[in-house]
Amino acid sequence: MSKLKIEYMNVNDLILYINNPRINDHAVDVVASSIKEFGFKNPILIDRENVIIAGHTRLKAAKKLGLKEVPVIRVEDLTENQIKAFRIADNKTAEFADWDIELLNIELESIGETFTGFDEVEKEMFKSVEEIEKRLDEYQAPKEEYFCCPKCKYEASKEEFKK
Amino acid sequence: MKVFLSALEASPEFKEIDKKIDKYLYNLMSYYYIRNSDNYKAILDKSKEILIDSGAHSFQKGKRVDWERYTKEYADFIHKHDEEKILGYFEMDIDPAGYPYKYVLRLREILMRKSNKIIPVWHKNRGIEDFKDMCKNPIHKDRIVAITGFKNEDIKDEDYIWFVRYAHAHNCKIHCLGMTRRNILDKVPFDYVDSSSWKQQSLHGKAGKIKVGRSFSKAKRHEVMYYSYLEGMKMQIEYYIKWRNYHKD
Repeated sequence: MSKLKIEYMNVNDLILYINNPRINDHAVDVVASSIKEFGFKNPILIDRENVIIAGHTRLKAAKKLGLKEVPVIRVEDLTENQIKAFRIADNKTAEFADWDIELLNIELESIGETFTGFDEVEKEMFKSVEEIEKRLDEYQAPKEEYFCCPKCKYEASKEEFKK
Repeated sequence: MKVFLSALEASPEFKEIDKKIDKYLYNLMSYYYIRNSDNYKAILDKSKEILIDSGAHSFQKGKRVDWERYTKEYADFIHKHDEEKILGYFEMDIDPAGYPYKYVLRLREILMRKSNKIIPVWHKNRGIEDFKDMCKNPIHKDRIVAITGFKNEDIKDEDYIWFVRYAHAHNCKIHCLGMTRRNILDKVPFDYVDSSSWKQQSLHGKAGKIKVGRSFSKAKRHEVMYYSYLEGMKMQIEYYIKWRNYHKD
């Protein structure tokens, strides 16, 4: 197995693969936040022609952050067909692993507000059954919306206005 | 998350839309419309999965309805037409219209005599303990329970996550009726929701991101509806993919 060599390249010399089957524009901001927090720790994979194999979102995030250079690894031991397949497999295989909710919750609590990519609602999904029960016990029905007649200023619920 | 597209069976343009689509994904049909329509079978045959709503809310407001008779007819329909790809049948949740919950339970009983796929629909008047009980002792054979998604009706937006987590903690699947708001769908992992927004949008002159204007000619109306339905199918795929790792089905 050939050893990987990391080099640094100008972001403008890297080429997005024209048929990249990933929809990633919505992920750019969160990846940019990660790079901002931790630095660019995961090199982009490119082929002999500087076309990206893996790391399209990272490149977009780097450009958004105004980075001039990013670390890359040039892949030279794969055929064109293998590169196409790896471009998909690299994303697909990452989907198979699962979270251990108990351990994840412990880790998230131990690091407080430090950026992880999980938002507040997602973090709430990992709460214990007791905590969920407690939150449901605090349930309060939404307040009925009142509307005001623009002419006579009479106030009533939406239902009453419908009648 | 499976987004069930609703109101296809009640669309005057159904036949035209149906000619152009070989396979549907998930559809929700209303018993109110399908009891007198042959669209039901066509949609059932071409869909991957189906949910049936009681249609209790389709009656004109204030109209006197013999609910027991309607429920018995709904129960007979269920008994006669049930098949595997129909995931469930929503109960006659008429309590928000002012009927006592006890009466709803009586109607539920009529349905349960004919099927173990009846989905209870929680409303705020039943109290939070009733929701917990729905999840602890589910009546649906695959443990499906339902809540409503209309803004500020039963549940505040920030509380949906707790209802979902509670249902999941009790090994239940949860359907949110009429939940079409993307800001919630992007955050809360409901198992099932239903949406007629494809139809509403097209009635307001939109087919997905394309604005066609409200004055499109009648001859073109089915074209607009067809494209709107395709946009709805795109939404089904989008949310299925988005949440598939969470739900694993």
